[in-house]
Amino acid sequence: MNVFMNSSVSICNNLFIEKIGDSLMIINPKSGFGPIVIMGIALKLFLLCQQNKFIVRNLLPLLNISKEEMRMMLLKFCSAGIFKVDGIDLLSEKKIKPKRTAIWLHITNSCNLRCSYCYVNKSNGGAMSWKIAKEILDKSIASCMKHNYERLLIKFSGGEPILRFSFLKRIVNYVRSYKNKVPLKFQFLLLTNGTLINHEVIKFLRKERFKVAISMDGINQYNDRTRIFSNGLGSFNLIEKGINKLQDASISPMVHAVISDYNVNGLLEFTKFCIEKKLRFSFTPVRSESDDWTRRNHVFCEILKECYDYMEDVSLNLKGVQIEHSFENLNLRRVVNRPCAIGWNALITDHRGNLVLCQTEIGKNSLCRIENVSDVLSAVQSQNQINLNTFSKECAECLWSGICGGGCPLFKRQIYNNLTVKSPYCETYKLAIKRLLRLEAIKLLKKGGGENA
Amino acid sequence: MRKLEELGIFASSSNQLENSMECNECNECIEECECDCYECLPECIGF
Repeated sequence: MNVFMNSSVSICNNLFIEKIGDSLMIINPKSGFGPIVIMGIALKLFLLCQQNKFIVRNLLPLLNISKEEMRMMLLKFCSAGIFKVDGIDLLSEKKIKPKRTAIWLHITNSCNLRCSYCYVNKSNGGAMSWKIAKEILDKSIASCMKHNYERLLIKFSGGEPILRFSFLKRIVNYVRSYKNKVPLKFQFLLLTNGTLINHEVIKFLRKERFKVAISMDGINQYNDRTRIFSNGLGSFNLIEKGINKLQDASISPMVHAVISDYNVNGLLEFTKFCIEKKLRFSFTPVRSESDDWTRRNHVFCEILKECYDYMEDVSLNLKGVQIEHSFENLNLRRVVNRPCAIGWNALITDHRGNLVLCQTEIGKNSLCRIENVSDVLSAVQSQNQINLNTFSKECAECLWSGICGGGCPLFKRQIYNNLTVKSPYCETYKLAIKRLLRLEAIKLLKKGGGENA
Repeated sequence: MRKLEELGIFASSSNQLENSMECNECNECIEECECDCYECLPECIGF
């Protein structure tokens, strides 16, 4: 970008601005840049430009800064989609080709838990055969090579994948046999309920540098209302022990909590638990129907406000504490037209070797059988039976739709039998985005030394 | 010349425009990946 002394500077549209202490947090949600926080000279520059279109030359004496400093500030403002120079903003429409994908390997239906909302039918105890696993891996790797991908993440799920630990190890060893044969980097992720973590499992996870995600819906009774064993007993104590064992072995799991009517009142306690244990944690609103969506959103938002107030308080006042939290798939630093990779860049298989659109479609709808396709990535994209890019009219006009992607399309289809509507959780997403922005702004201030927020 | 922070700007050091549009291979990519893979996002549990 060229900035000349006679260039004109003006403010872009679609900005969200919020005061944080003496600073302003600003984001252009259509920029993919994330928030920036300004104070001092930068704040003065922004406020001047907010009032009028300015010529750069005229701004210099008002701010008492050098040309180089002005250029550097303008570049940052323009990159973030906040300023336009000579009427040109720097936002790019460029579509970036993916270089990595993930395959969701549903290796078993079996589970030692009977969570009330689980989408997996455990009654038939289905388990993936080695023949199917090998075919899925071979074809996925071949497809990644064909499309010039650089990295493949292999996610083990179920059911409870640790119940098939020997099978899991066999898969990892097989994937490792591809090392030096293909220019593809492999990563592994274990999605587990956390109750079966033992020394042998940990040793293997460490050796193979697994990422670990644990499902947990709260602490004590809040988790135990939904995440129960077949005898009705709760799983919290065992999950906590599993987390402790992982942390003792320097494995930092991501803890995923599904927010439902059953555990929402325990969410603040859960937040405190995660922060105290230095856990990365995420919230996902439950994919179940509601008689009263207005009320559910209201309740979720009220509790979430308390959680985010607490996170802000800790983030502002406790030195050395870094909160690592996410809300569903919301990402402040990118612009999306869908909330996840399904039907585009996600390979998901059931235990029988059926490719499915999303793991929640396992046992319901399959796209095709792995044995009938040669290029799995193309198969997923070509068999994308519903237009997942469809925003509702309201979404298209919404400031935040590039961050939420319109919400889960399959959930909208489930609830409304319609994709061109806004998500039932629209209000919850809006609140979460704004609070995530504030958290990010505080993090930036702390990192940059501007801690007088 | 003063740094951006001294001028009062606090922002992420990376973005789609300032980077070379490559994933930075950090392995902890909740937010860092800048490509269009969608797989750097946290797992959607999808319940």
